[in-house]
Formats: sequence, structure tokens, C-alpha cells
Amino acid sequence: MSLTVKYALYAAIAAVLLTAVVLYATFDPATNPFPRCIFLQLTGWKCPGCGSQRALHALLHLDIAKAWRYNAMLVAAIPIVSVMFMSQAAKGKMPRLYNSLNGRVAIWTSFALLTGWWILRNIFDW
Amino acid sequence: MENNENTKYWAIINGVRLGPMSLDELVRLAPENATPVWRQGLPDWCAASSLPELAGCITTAVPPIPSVPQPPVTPPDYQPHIPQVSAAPMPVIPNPDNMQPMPPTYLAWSIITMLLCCLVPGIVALVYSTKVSSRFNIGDIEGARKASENAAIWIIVTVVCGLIAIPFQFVLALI
Repeated sequence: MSLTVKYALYAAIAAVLLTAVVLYATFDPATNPFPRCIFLQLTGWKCPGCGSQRALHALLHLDIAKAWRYNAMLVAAIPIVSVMFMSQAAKGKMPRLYNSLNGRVAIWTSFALLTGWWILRNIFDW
Repeated sequence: MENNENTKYWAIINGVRLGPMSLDELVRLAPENATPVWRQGLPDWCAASSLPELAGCITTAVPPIPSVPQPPVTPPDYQPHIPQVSAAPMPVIPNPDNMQPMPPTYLAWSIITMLLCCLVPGIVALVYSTKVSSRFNIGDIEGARKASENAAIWIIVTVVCGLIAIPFQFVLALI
């Protein structure tokens, strides 16, 4: 990937993120028509991401407890994913940290956590 | 040359190239069957299990953390040998790239996409992520790079699927 393409991509991602932040901060997905999970509509079961939009709205209003009730996994994933991105940015300096955060153990743990969350939240109605 | 005391070994453990070290030091690192090792005279990296001098020293399980000695990267004793190594007929160490971090696995992106939209392509991306690290750990940089590209493609597929789904999701929200 050439450098200009890379920067254009970053700019596009930043623009989309900024728009999303403004939208999700202004409107509450609990009361406004926001995209609804297809999986939930079709099967009646929650997917691992259900509640993310309402959780995002709550987070942008600094209401972590409410966000946790909507989608606990999203709230829990934010610090982990942030560390991952930081290690990616610093992977030239700290290759060991990056390699262990992206090793087989880390990947299968995240997979197990996500699927476990998916199943458990439908059993216990989290 | 085969069992020469001075033969230097290199190994790739957890994606980090260690060496030069003596056979004893290599044994103390407790290589696993598939650990890639290389010594002077070998055309390329090979599995630890295929070296006759390592037979019987290979662990099948990961040793407890405290007992793993930090590999002496360049102990003072061995410095005189270094010029000798570079003057050997096979001076080029295969895969010098191993000192680098592994190609991106996009694991963080997989988690985000799985938490925010489509699941199935996210899982495919995750499978490629595991392939990046497993290929990298056996020293197959090219394979790791390819798996990394595939992971990136599937992340993009996931995001595009999510974007295509948004209008349908809106319709569902309005019904």
C-alpha cells in the first residue's frame, strides 16, 4: 500500500468515526430508528454485538453502568482493543509484546470469549 | 562439523530468533518438536525433531516460565567466534526477517467487527489471524504475510457486509 493511499484511508476512517461519534452522541438508539440487528430480528436471539449502539450512546454520555447493561462485552473489549492498537503502533520497538498479543493463545481466547458471550447472553438474557 | 563443540545454533522461539548459541544452550531452551532450528551447514531452517543431536532433548510441553533461561545473545566468551561464523561457507542466516514482529494479524479489527456487525466473515478473518501467528512461529514469513493479507481482505469483506446491511437494518427498525 502506498503512503498516500494509506493516509487517504486513515482520513476516511477518521471522518467516518467522527460522524459516528456525533450521531451516536446526539441520538439515543433506544428511542430513535437506528439500524437493527438482522440476526436478532430473524432468529429472536441476540448476537454478540446486540446493544452496542445503545451502549455507545451511553458511553458517549459517560454512563458506563448503563453501557455495561446494554453490552458488557463491548465495554470490556474497549481497553483490550486499545492496548492491541497501541502495541501495533509500537510493534517495531516492542515486537515481543505485539507477537504475544496476536499469538494463537490470544486469538483463540478472544474467539472463546466472544462465542461464550454470545451463548451465555441468550441463556441469561444479559 | 556435525558434533563440533563450536557449532553454533540458532532457533526461532515464539517468533524471536535466538542465537548464536552452543548445543547445550539450545537444549536448555527446551525446543519443541516443531521449533525451527538452524546450524552452520544446513541449507535452511528445519524442525528441531529432525536434528539427530537434539533427539531426546525435545520437550513436548511448554516448560514452566521460571525455568526458561534468558538466552545469552552474545556472551563474551563467544565473541571471538563471531567473525568465524560470518566467514563460514554458509554465512547467510536464512530468514533474517525473524527479528521483526510478525505481519499484522488484524485481531483487534476482528474483535471490533464481530462486536459491531457481521459475524461469519469476522470468524474467517480470525482463522487467518491464527494462521499468521502459526506460520510466523515456524519461520514461514512468506506464508504469514499471505495469511495476513487474507485476514485484511476478510476484515474488509466484513465491513462491507456490515455497510450493505445497514439499509436493510433501517427497514427492519421502521417496520
